[in-house]
Amino acid sequence: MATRINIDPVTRIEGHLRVDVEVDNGSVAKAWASCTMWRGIENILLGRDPREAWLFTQRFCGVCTTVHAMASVRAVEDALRLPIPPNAQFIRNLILINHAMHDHVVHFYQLSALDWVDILTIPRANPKAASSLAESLSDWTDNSDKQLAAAQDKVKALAASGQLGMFASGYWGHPAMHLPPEVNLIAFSHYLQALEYQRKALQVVGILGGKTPHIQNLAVGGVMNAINLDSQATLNMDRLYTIKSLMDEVIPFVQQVYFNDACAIAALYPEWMAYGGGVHNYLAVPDLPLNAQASAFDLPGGVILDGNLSNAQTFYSAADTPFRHAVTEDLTHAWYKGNEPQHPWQGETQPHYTDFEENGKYSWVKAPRYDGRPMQVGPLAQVLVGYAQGHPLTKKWTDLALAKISAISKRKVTVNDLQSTMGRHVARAIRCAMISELATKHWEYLVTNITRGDTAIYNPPKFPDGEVEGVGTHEAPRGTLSHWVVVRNGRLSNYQAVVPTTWNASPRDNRGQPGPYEMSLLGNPIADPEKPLEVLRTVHSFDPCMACACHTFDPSGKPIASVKVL
Amino acid sequence: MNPRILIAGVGNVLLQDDGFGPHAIAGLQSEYEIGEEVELLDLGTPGLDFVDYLVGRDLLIIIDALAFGGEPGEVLTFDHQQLRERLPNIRLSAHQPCLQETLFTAETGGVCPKEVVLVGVVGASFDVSTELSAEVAGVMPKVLEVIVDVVMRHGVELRKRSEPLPLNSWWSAAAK
Repeated sequence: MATRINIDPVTRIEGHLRVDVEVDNGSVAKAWASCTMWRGIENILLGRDPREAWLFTQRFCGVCTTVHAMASVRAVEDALRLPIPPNAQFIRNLILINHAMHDHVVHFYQLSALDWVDILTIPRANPKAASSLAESLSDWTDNSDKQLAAAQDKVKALAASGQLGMFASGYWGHPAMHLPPEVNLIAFSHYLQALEYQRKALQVVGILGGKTPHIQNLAVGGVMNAINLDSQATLNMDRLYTIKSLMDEVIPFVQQVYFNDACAIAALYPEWMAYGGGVHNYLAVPDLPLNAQASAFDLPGGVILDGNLSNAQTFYSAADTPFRHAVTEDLTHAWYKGNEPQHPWQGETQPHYTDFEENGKYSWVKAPRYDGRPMQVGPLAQVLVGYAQGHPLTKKWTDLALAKISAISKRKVTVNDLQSTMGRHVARAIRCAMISELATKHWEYLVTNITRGDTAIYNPPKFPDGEVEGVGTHEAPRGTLSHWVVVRNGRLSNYQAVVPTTWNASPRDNRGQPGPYEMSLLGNPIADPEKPLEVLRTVHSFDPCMACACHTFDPSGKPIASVKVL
Repeated sequence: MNPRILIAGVGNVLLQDDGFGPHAIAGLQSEYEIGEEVELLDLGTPGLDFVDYLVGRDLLIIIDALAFGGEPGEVLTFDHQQLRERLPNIRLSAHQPCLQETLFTAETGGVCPKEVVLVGVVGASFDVSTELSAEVAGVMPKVLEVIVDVVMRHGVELRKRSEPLPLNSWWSAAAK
């Protein structure tokens, strides 16, 4: 007997991610991912000055503000073939690095840990045993039994007061939750500590960007951070050292706490390295450019097809020629006019809503394809692409993670095991550790360049008559982000953003190929259809960022999962 | 140290009335003198990173659009207890920032402001546009007064400027 589960958090008028799965014999047999909000915001940019587009694009999404701003200025610079000064690259890189560290830590502790960590077992934990376990896994100094007991007291107090707040809506006691109480306690204690460190990373973004969550310092052609080591009002040594000392606190948290927690949880849920792989085509673009022309990068990009790491393709520039040509968006199953796959420069965003038709149109997300193939993007793609190319920093942290997981789980875990639901969490921690190592390096690049006497920050853009096209990419925390612009006589005549979640949450295409979410859910076990925790685990492992838009308070509090027997 | 009173406008300025919060922040900046004890922030559409802005506050006033509750333009306020009573749904995406969840996370982390007030306006339209609907734009002066009253109850007077500063709602054609 099959069961249909519809997970549709109808909490806001604009809607969100909806997932439908058909469960047969206790596992997912069919899946549909649908975005229930129209993303036509790009249309607001048509006719505007390309120099101010980034101010609007950073409003696409409240969590990914910075990344949309960055992709936008890069797109216009690409259209103009405009290099930016090295200082501007390094300042932008430091913003992206700190944004990414913040984002990954928030995702792991605030948005997904509770899929794996059963809060209600924490009162039963032994803080002393938890402390020795934590200290055996990491050099982190804040794992004392006193600190863990304090975290445990918080949970006890919450439980006693009956105010479990957001924890009241978790799937506690679910049969798929099986960490020992001590591990749950360690994770909860780190969840509390994470709040402090994520804030420090955000402070760095604020110092360089002028403001958060919407940075103010960008310009097409560079940045607006005036540099003068002797002036109080500009980027001076004082500010640079404030940034350094904040990063010096965040980096150990990433490397000693987050990285280790992700490895430990992966080791203790070995079954989740067997499900959730889904689409095994991976895409990542290079990022953290090292010079004005952006011809060398600290983070690698490329393509892997069919999970074959021995045959990876490498990208040599931020939007390498194959990438420029291979990307299309298919509208067959999306609520837009037209069916033929469109290249983003020719892309149109004309709504055509039908209703949810599982064999017809069923999502507001377009279906991006790379040479006609669905691609998985995100930290797993980033790590696999780098690993396949023998990128030293990627190899270093990946091998460290695999060794740790193998040691804790007492079984050999390989890079291929990362092609799974849990593998996406591990890959995110690997990527975050890599980025944390680059934080200091890029700070040194900036300081060295400035002390050498270079204070250039901006090359003014000049718009030609006629039409130019550009693409700006950023390998964002959630994966490959690309903004595609067409500028005619100095005004925007087309603007398309192909965002990471569009790749991952893509619906089926004209050839019936499902997207990564849909594929990754197939075969996931479902212990209790009324509490589809397993579906949430797999979807959350992608770090979905769906609505890119709306925030309207609706206190109706409806249940999200509905189950119907077919 | 953060100023002890935070007035945070939330919402998306590209989606018409959803952007009421940021519009209201621009309105306050333009019409009132904001002393050292008060900080105004346009937070856009934050996720759980909202928590990062709450450290060291006594009072948090959130200005938001409402998707329920009455006629467009109706102004409703909620206190922390009222917000707390609403159970959050389980999230699928980072973009269901559930205010309740933000506040709960802040409470658990020991950084929640002592008092929280949500001042909301029922929206008329949430289409793609940078301009407020007439119904919602019309209640702006009233909403600013409600906010000024709440701040006053906490012992801080926001004085009206004799000459308003230019509105810095750069996204809006109407403001120019």
